[in-house]
Amino acid sequence: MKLYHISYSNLKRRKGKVIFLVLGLVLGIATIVTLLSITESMTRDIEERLDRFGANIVMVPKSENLALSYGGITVGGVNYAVQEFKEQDLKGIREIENRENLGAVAPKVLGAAQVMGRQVLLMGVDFAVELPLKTWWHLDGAAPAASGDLVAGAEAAAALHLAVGDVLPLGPRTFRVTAILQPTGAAEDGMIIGDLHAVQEVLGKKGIVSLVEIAAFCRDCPITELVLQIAEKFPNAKVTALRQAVMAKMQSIELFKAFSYGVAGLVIFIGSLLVFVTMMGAVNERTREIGIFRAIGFRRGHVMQIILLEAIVVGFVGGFLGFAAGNLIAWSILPVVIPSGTFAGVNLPLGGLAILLSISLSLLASLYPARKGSSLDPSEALRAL
Amino acid sequence: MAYDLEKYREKRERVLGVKKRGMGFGRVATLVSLAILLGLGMVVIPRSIAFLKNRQLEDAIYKLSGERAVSERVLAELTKQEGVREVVMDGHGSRVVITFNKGVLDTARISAFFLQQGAQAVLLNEVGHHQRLHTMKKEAEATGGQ
Amino acid sequence: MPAKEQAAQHLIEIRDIGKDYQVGANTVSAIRHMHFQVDDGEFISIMGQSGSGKSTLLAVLGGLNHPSRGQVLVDSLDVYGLSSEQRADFRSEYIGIIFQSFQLIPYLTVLENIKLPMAITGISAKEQDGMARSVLEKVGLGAKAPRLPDQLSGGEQERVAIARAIVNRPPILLADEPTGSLDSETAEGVMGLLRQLNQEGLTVIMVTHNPDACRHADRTILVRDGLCLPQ
Repeated sequence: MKLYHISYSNLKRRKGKVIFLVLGLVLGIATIVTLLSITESMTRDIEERLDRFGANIVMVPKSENLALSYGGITVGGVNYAVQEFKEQDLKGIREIENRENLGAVAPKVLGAAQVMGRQVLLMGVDFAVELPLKTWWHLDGAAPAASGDLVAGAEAAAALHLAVGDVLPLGPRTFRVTAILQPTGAAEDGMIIGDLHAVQEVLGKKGIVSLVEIAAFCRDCPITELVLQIAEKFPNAKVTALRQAVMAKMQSIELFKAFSYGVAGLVIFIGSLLVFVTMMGAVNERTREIGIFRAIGFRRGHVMQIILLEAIVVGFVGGFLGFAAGNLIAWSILPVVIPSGTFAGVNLPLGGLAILLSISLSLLASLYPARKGSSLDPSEALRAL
Repeated sequence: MAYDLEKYREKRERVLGVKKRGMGFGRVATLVSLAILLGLGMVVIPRSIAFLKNRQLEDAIYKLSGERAVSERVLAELTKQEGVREVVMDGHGSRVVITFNKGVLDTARISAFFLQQGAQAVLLNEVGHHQRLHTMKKEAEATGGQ
Repeated sequence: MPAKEQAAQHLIEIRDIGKDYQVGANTVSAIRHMHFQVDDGEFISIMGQSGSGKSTLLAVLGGLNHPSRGQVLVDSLDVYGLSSEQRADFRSEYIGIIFQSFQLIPYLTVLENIKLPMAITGISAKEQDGMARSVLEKVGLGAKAPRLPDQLSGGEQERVAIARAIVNRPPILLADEPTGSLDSETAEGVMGLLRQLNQEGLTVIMVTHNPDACRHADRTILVRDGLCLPQ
């Protein structure tokens, strides 16, 4: 017989009270685990999207923006003074200090054109550079080989009733559709994509480039420095690292995380209060029992140990169940929060922390009841007999 | 039988010899719990507070050209402007990082300020302050490790 | 001798003790004045009616209730001169106590109840088991080890309470109304057991209001209105 036998036997017989005690902790721990799992899944979702993008840096012409606002509420803006790039100037990109980190440089020209009586967005690209970059492009048909070959975006093809092999007159030239681009969910779906120089000719923008996508070789390159060096070379350009734009979205996740800690802290506090109140009740009910323990020679420390051992068991069970429940809830509601997202998986270190936290809270909440119980005067306790 | 003082000597000595052996279970439990909670609190709370405080801060990176003396005077003036938290020249010497509160100021007004002061400055990039620090730290770790 | 020890002539010495309680504005004396001794190996019964102070006296003897005045010496130890922790150890080492209404722990088995006093002694599990089963056999309940208290009769519960009180081999056994809730035949059996333990060397102090129970004792101390009556 050891003191923990007494703790364990007491918990076994008081199942109702244990459930109540554990429930308070489960609620608190499950809340924080759910919230943290969701933020982790959100972060992972964004990082996975980032990994898919070939281009790390996008260069567009700098434009002045006139923001329209009414009483401090911005309702949009008008871009003016847009100056597109000269194709011959793009060689300056490969002259920056960190040029060894540069991979593909993919220029594009954009413009609207009349196709079969409809206004369609045309994009001219260097297919030799563009296709290896856009790994998520899947073509139904053959990749363009000649300057007269076109790829139609899925939506554009449907709107214009285009199929592979169709001939399309654009400006002074005639083009042939060699492939239909499978839906990407991006702007390309509504475009007709052709060879850069051929499209420049159609749009009357010979030697002009509307935007440039630039890929870096490695994942851990100094992207910030690349962006600044390119921006220095092209003062009229707005140069943005894709990662930077995406990371701005991460801010809202960080905000959500900070908010989660606050909410979880409150729920955990309430759970701990529940443990405190229930333990106080339990100690009061055990006055007789404690009197017997003290009468047969248990010291105050022994009585405290019995009560605190019960708190440790309750804390462990609460932490474990809270962690399991939190993961289950996160897994169930994630499709609602992030429609295309996937569950980040069970984070075992978080589980360890959750259990430690739960045990600590259970112990601290039980300290006062344990002290009170152990300080019972044996003669007072025995009067209850 | 007559009382024998020696009969229960061992028991008597055990009772009288009671010493507190180390810390009690309750004290150890308290200390460990407090350590865990304080440790977690110290990790989580300052980060959350720092994030909430810095949320409104934005960094604008400008390239300066022209006379160095003019640049230094203009930057000193800029530091006094409302909404500007910090103005730092970067390692390259020609770039300046301006940390500002985006609720009070924006890059259009900063560019206009440079123009007003007669300084030649081109906006290279605009990024969240917290994000820039985070990215710089990660990049420094990556290049340091290579 | 250190201050917590006093020169004594008897195993137990009750020296001019009194116990008062505050009841509202009034002071009530449960024990007005008591002074007596108990020798090693004696079987003492303390007899008196309800409210005479006998149960309070037993609590004082057991180191459970601090007297308002006087001294209690057990094996030369000034019981109420000890610290709280020392007094707990004193109870563990010296006293086996049988409560009124047995007071077994309802969620522990018979064997676990008996082992309870050993939970704080550091005795190994194997030795605990041996000692517990040995006293269980001694009180004639060897087969009832795995039962819970509410599965036993009154007499059986009393025997388990006795077994729990003696498992640690204390020199002194305090019994509060050990036959109070038992029929005469069962009571006789319990008294026989106490007598047997006394003959084996245990000092037994029994509180009772039943004159029949006193037959087994070497000596009876009569208590009335908080006083020991002259014998």
